[in-house]
Amino acid sequence: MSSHPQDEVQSQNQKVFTVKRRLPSLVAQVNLPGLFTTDVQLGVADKCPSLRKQLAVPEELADFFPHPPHLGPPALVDVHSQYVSHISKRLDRVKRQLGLPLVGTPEDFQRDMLEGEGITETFVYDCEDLRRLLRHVTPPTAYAPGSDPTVRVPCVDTPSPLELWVPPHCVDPSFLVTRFKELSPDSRQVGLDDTVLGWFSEKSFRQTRRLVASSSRPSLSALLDAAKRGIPSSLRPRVWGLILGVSQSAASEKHWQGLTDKIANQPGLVDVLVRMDVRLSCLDEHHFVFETTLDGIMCALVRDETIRDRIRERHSRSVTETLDTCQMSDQLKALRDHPDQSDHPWVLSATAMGTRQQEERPESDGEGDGEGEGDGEGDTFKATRLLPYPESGIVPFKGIALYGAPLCFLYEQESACFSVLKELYVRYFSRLHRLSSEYGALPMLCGVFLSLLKAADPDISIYT
Amino acid sequence: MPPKHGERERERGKTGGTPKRERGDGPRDRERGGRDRDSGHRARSGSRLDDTSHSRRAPSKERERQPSKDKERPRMITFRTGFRNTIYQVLLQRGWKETDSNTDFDFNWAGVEWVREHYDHLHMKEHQRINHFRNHYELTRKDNLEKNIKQMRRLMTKEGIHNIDLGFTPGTYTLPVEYSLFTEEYRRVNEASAPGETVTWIMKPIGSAQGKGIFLFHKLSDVAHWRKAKKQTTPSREDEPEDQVHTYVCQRYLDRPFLVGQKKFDLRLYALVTSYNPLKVYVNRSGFCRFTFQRYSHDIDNIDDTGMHLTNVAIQKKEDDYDPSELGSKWGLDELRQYMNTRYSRPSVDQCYALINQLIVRSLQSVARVAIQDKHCFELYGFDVLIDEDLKPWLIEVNASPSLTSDTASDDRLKKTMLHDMLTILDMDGILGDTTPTQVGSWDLVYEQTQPIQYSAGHFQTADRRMAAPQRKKIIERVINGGWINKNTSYLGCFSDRARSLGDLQRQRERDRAAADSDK
Repeated sequence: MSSHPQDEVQSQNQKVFTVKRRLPSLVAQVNLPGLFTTDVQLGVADKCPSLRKQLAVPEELADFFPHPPHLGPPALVDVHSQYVSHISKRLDRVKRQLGLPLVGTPEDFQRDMLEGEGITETFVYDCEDLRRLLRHVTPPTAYAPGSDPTVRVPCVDTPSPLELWVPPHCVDPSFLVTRFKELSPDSRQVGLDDTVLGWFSEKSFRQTRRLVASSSRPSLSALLDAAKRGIPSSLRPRVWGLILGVSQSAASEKHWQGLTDKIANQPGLVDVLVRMDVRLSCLDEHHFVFETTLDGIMCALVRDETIRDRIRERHSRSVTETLDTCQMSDQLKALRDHPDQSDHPWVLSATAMGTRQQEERPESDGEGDGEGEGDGEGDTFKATRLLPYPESGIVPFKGIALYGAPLCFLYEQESACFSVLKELYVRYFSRLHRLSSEYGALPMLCGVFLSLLKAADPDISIYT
Repeated sequence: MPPKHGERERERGKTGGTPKRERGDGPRDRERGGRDRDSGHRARSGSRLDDTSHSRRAPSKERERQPSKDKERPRMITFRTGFRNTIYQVLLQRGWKETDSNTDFDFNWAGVEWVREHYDHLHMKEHQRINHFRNHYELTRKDNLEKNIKQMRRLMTKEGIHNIDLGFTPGTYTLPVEYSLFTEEYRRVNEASAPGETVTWIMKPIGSAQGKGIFLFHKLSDVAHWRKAKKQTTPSREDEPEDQVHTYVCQRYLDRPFLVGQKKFDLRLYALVTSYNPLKVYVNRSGFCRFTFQRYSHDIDNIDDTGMHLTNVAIQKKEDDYDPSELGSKWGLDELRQYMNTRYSRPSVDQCYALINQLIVRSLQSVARVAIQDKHCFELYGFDVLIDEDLKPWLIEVNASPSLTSDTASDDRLKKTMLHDMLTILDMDGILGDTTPTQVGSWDLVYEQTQPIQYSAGHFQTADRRMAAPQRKKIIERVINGGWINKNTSYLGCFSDRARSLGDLQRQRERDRAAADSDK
């Protein structure tokens, strides 16, 4: 994607969207980065120099993978292309049914989408789609049968490919009991025992308060140890903020305000999808009170462009921008060379917008140049600024609002709620939407789950 | 799983404990028409400890120990009710038998109209129970409640007792009787308020329910105009005096409520009074928060929007988006308490709930002085409480017939649990005996006076007027405060652990029975 630093991107985004009012034919590139992976880029960009890269193990997983072997590039190319195709078609279908552009003006989005009858397309993808994609993920070579005679495959004769992503010791009961000793049935947990035992509730509250009040900066390891046994609800907002390193400041408040203004002035199709998901997934007897808050924070999460960079920085530490440039240039070329293709959603939106506003002559060509292409911008319709869509890289899926719903109980201010949600997503939840060979990404998580199920009840292998 | 009560009794009979008198064979039983010989071994509906175990009749041995009581107790508990909602299902679940008789019942769950019509002509036997006190309207009518609280306040001031908190209702004026007083208060408040600040008042018709006829205003002229217009147009009820329907109470509107998700809500709590003198009050741990659908706004332009300001379910049901089966507009009290714990310190939240308990007891004490005590009567009240943004609870009103209709499954579960445990407390079949446990299922005993109070013309005659003032004050304080089980702790919203509580009662009863048997 864009190789500009964040502030430049942001200022250009602002410039772009300012110009957009006069030049509504600007295209928002549907980059579909929802499941982008480093390995896919390795596979796709054959022409780009191959990267020899040891994937770094995140700190929190170091004890699971003390001596990580080099996993090698698995075959995720097909998976990614299937994903791109699926998402494109779904987005196209959603656009047609709702009759909305990808990005538009507030006037385009005035009516309440849920009032329309016969609306069946309410999400872009769900867990069923992910499950279908995961079936095509082949295991890394390190754990394939026969690759290493010392590796013991911890399940029945025909393990599913996902299980082969899992190092054998991860499902060893003795290892798990030692690793997760705080979950032992003999020790009491906040969230379970404190509702029944008044003395335990008081004790845990006093201990945690002492920890938090002990110094101006309590140690992270002590907080993490306490969090493993549960934090009393009255102290949870503060402790989670300390662990995640999130604090309310003028900058975060300003960032939140900027996002809400952007959503109000430049609404998008993803906002509608997110709001629909809030109504369909989250309005149960517990969360109905927070409907408006959830709308705000989930739309902000999906439209926050800094999230992409944060995730990339955290999970893909040595990816160079040249890969993106290569990838983008292919798509840009496709767009420029074949503007009439109707199977690409971004082209559809371009033509729709172009025909509507052709009489407006753009007054400025200050959109900048395309990546690596240096296209000269004139005063005619052209895709000039390629932006990820959605900006955060999070394609709205079914149930996305459930990630933010529990946080509404903890944080009253929407900006605080959003900051914590963003941090949690960047650090942890994003792994659930990454098809990658990284440690802790979706294939490995599914493999661990499957292996644990089979270890607990081998008969389950009949159904997997 | 402990053996069922009936099984144990049958086993006892088999091992040789021979009863002296066979049930159903005595002269009184013959008078009643003989005994159904199968009834003693008939399986009762339900077998769970927490629902129906206490509904089993007392065995013959226990009847022998209390012969005078047993002679009056019918074999099958019969109930009479005109309702067909949750209470009806609960009574059937306990295995009781329905009767249509207006006099021959053991348990009567009646509406207030039935009580008004029949109570004065009813001569109830010792074991009979009815679910309303004769003059419950001293508490449930808004003007009477305010009058009783004011009298209590005057009495406390007169006796020099200043630490009884009775400031849990916003200033209330009955119109048109107290119109001049209200006008003075209106002017005083307006002069004291900051410039630009608008003071809002709320008008509620007496004797109405479900939010009918309530409106907000902030100009005195609004009230005068409206009052004159309504006198001519509002139809009056046939059985009430002509001026009854025009009587309103006017209160200062609480315009800074505690908000959740920027929505206003009020609490519905359940209190059970089994006796007014001596006062005995149970409070249920569960309750509801009823939310509005719209976000709350202090803006006076929204003053006419009842959907924003009134939380009554009937009002909210009229909102366009209301759909209780999908959305639900209620939270449980446990969720609210947990939510409040994340916003405020634990001591502040605990104090708020303790104040709610105190509010309930003080309002009942205010009415106890004028209530007609009857050992047959008990009452389940629905207290509507509003919490403001300073975590101070305010009493809005009290309902003598709280709605027992359920909208959702969790609603249904909560009400059934509450009613089953209420019937356990009432102890129609003598399970609890003379014991008074402090927790019965989801109910907590919060206040119990041990001795009845002598009232004379509404004053406490327990303390002799010839006594010195400090001594008299001490006695009255002990009377007012002596019944607290735990004044500064409230279990509202806490986990009720019913199985343990009811299991403990069952085990205690078996121990008592075993001890009584061994004494023999």
